[in-house]
Amino acid sequence: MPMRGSISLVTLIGALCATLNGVRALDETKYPDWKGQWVRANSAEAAAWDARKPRGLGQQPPLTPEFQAIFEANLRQLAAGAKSSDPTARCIPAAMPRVMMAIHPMEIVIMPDTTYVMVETSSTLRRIFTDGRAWPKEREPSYAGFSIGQWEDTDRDGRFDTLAIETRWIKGPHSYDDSGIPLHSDEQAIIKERISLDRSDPRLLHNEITTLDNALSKPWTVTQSYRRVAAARPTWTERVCSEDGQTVRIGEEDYALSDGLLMPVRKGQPPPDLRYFNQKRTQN
Amino acid sequence: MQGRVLMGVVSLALACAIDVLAIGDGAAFDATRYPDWKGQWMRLGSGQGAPWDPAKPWGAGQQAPLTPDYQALFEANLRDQAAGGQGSDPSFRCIPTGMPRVMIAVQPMEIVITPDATYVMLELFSTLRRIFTDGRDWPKEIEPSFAGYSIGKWEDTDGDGRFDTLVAETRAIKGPHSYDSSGIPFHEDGRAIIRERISSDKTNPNVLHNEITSIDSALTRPWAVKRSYRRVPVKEPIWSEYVCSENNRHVQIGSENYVIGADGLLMPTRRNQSPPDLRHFQ
Repeated sequence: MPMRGSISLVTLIGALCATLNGVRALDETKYPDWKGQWVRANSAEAAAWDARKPRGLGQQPPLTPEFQAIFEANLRQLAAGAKSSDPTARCIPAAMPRVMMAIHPMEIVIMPDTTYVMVETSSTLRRIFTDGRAWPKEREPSYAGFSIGQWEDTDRDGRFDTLAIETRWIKGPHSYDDSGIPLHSDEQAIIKERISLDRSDPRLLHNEITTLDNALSKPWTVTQSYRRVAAARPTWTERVCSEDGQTVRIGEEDYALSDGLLMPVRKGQPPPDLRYFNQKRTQN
Repeated sequence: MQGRVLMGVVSLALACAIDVLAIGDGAAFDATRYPDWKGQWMRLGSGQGAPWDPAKPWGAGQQAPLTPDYQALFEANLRDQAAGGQGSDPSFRCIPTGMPRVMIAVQPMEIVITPDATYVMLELFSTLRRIFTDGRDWPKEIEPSFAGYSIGKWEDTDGDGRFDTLVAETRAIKGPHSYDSSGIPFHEDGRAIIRERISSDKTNPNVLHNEITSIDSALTRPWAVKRSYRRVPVKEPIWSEYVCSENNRHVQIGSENYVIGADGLLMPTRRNQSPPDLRHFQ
């Protein structure tokens, strides 16, 4: 009889353990601590894709001659005051990989099947699937793209330290930064990332980003770094671009909106074609 | 024999205790304490125009308990919509629908539960809600946002040792906002408080209910509505991006709304509408 009781106890404890362990979603001891708010480590005023090099031509992107010419034309437009090469001026999301500059704060939530990267810029939500899925045959392109990741334990200490990601199906138009370094319009770009904490400073996160794109003569690798904000309860903000709509496209022209009035974005820009209105201009 | 069995019991209990402690180490996440709300959720009920109260018709049929002032504003907005205008609903200009309207979940929704926060990710206007469950107090000042600032608390209502209900309160919601596309307005004072009780259906784990109570100065009494969502039965659901500005044909210049026609040119939205002021052009 006492033995039957002991067997029941074994069964009970076994069942309890199975419940506790079998259903648990996340063993945090297996994953790195990337909690909190991250902002880009390099806080230069004009954010260049490669933070180590000057913005614009100084970036020396390995563009094909055709896309180098497009880039230089974009720079000339910018110098003339137009921002048409930068779709974010029209509230089009910054997209991958540019959004990973983390101009605005970023949060990373690690779950076993997915790592969520939430960037305030363009209200971007990236889902990086780590559930072992294969690439789907087709996906509708999106600005965040479709990402599959894999955790690596590079120092073999029993805990993952690096998230290796590949992102495909990124929607265009997009550029690396606001200087208008273009990605190819064929939307075939592939972005590979390796995200890991700094070896000596757990408040620093590094992201080695390699872009493979038909506008490039070779893969372009750049490291973005982020620093963890030292606040237990950081403030998160909403970025609603359309709220303060800066630019409007009418016909082939971009115009600025300021104080409720339409403004030219370059000297001598013609006003919009108002053929659908009676031809009287509002007099003030 | 008895001794061997007892030793087995002790070893198993120790192993289990060590494992549970390992889970507990560093505030590790014990999923057995939380409900399974994984996956993709879509609104249940597809009432025309997605009315705020799914049990009642859209528009005046919602019988919103508005104060006379706000009832008059609502009716004026309905007249404007009937005449082809946009009424008081700002979402046509790509202004997020905000709380609580976004919880209609016109587009898919995902809920990610962690011990310190529950994230509600809605495709509509790329809305991200953080419902903090870390025991924090309300901050003294909060910058209003369309998603608002939410604090939540988990409840185990049936006492089975597992949380089943998330009780959330949301404040500091930015306006202008309305309950649904018919333009039922919130007060412009921005002091609305939204209380939610989110829980799984008692018999169907693939149905989620959200009892949403709005407390607002434009109402004569709190307005409670029950919204429900169904889990999409797909292992790898497809998530889309909703980028309103991408294809938005509406343009607001000053106080006037215009539309961009198929040929890319600016067009009036009503008869005899004045063209935009072009004083800054030569």
